[in-house]
Amino acid sequence: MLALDELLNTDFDLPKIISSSTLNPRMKSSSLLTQLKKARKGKNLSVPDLISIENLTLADLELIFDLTGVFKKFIESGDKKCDLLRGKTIINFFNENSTRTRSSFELAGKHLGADVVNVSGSASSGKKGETLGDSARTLDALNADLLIIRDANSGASFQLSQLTQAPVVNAGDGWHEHPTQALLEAFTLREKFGKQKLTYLFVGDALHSRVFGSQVRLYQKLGFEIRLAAPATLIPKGIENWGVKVFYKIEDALPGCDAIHAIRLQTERAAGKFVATGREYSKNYCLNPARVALAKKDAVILHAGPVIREFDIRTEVLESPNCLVQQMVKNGLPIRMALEWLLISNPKKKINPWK
Amino acid sequence: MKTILIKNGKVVNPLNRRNPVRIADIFIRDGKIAKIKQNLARPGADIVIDAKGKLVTAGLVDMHVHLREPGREDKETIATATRAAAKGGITTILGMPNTNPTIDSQTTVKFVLEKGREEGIVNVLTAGALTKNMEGKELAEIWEMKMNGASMVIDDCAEEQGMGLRRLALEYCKTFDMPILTHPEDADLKDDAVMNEGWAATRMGLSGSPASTESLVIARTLELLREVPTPYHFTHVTTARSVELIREAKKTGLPVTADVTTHHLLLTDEACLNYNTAAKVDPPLRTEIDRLALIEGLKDGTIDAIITDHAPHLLVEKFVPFAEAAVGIVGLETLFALSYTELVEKKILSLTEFFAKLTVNPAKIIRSNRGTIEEGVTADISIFDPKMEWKIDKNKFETKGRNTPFDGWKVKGKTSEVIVGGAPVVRQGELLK
Repeated sequence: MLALDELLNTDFDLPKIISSSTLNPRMKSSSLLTQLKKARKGKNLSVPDLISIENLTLADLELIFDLTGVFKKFIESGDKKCDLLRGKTIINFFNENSTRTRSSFELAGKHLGADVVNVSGSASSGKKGETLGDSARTLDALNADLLIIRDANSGASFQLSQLTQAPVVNAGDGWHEHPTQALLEAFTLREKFGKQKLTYLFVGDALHSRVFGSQVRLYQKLGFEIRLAAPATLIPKGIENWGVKVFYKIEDALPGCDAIHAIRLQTERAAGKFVATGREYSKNYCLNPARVALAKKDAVILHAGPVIREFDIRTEVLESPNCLVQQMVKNGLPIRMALEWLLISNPKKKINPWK
Repeated sequence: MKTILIKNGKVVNPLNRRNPVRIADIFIRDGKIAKIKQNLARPGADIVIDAKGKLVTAGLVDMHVHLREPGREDKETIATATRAAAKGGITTILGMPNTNPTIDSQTTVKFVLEKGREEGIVNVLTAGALTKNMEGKELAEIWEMKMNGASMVIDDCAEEQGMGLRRLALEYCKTFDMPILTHPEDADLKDDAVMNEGWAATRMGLSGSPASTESLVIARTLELLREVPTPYHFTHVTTARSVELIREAKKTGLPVTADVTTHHLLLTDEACLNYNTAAKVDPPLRTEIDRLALIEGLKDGTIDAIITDHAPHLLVEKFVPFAEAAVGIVGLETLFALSYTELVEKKILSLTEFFAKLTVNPAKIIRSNRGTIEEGVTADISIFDPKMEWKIDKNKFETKGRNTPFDGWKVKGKTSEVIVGGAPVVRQGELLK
């Protein structure tokens, strides 16, 4: 069996791994492993969990992006399955509806050869009277090697991560963060722009968006010039501390922008009352061709999905060649493969909080 | 009843203008302070306490405590709350009426006072609700509650309550000279907020309530008080603007008073970071600017008293996601040490000013004859060792609540002896029973 530690080991024995591997010959297993090894250089994430972008160092980001590139090529080669995580268990613990994010995490785990289990609940455990500690002990009792947690409550993933021995990935917590979604977008931008420091504009509901919560931290780390165009009702307080320049009028914000990200109005999170009507919001903030024309010539259009067509973005813009939404969705898989592998193979183990 | 002689303590009496702090002996007989004098010779005293190097004060008065009994005896009982109070050097506590059933009638007022007498080891007083069942719809029987011993009535603002009823309430309470205490927080502005609005909340993706949630209620209440001046107390104020409004109101002669909690004096909303549910409290912890304004308010007399807002909860209620966690902090056992460390050790308040805010001032607001240390008064006395350094350990609390953000804090000043009504309840830092 392929042990992760072997891969990190300096005297790692390639033929032995190949012999135990079930890799499809279209991309040589040796090639994947060599490339992964080359990209990883024996490095590990500086953190045991992925809760907030805040905790990642620039070196962590580089490591994640480099490995994502390798995994992406591997997927594109036509093969998808390897056994880097064979014998490992990943639990998707989703307390909030999600199909796309959950499937992406699940597929990533399966591509890596892990056993993936989905545990879902309609409400968070707290509402059912279970403490975080009890939830954590239940999850740990399943002997998971990685927990992917989504919860409607901001902080739930962090709080659980403090109580579990298994590493935790925050797959979205309330209005707080959704780090993998931000990372996949940053990777997509890197494919297009390299390491350029971009002028980046958010449009819309920053207040209720956890994706924004992760992106703004990430782009601050990467040295972007960050702008936000939104009505005052949807702007989080203190946002200037993240270096965000705020505009009420989208037309004022667009000139000079390399990238424009439309944030969906989170109507399911009662954001509805923050604007008078969808019509009025859309008239002021929808990304239409005339507005996009104010940005730099090759400015790219981004969206974390699901897109509300003609409301967040006009179809002409969404289907223009500069719209990277499809690439983002594609990149979701390799970025999650990279993270799942990095977190499970991190030799720095968490301390059992119950001992 | 045994006689007690307290020797060589540093006696602090804020009411003694000429000599508020002096080394003296105190002789207690028949439950009363018989004599305060230097080098008092009373060789026959049954109990002699050596208070050399210690602070001798009237027992502390905490005018804001959630007793939880009746109704939530799993969180706290009157008995356990009084044990916690005694451990903290507090000899008089005022219970809040948001129990189950609500303290809104003579029957419930009597229940709390009787239970306090039977099972409490310190003095238990109670406030009543301003409106029936605290629903903000109809006035409760305020006169009858007062006749049966309720100290004041509370307008909790938990329910949205019309201004019309509020103005009527002022007139009604004025009629019977019943002081009103309010928790100034506008329910509509607060909405679903779980902490203070600002950078800390933004970083955590939590909804916050603006400072105006509080100052707005104070401002509109002051407008009503201009027309109907009657004793009115704003409890646990938290914002700079609130302090400003109350300062101005006092200048114009309105009969208003205010208090602040230890946690608002020591912490800001940054204490909630990392989803620390122990720091989730109502009203929420605010910013450093607000905290400094509260300290300024204490110094210049705008804020009259320091309280605990002791609010015990079950472990399970805090061991959930932040937004779902219960609000409240326990404080009876940390009131003195935290405020002494912050205010006296840092030379923000003099000993006299400090003890005034923990004894005579709150006693005056709730119309209690306790909280003073003079010849002839009932002997409620606490003795603190101001040099003793210790570490707060929530697992050693007498209260049933373990919800404190101060666990593990190193503080200075510890309860040494407590005497209630002339009888010792704490000796050398330990409860007697």
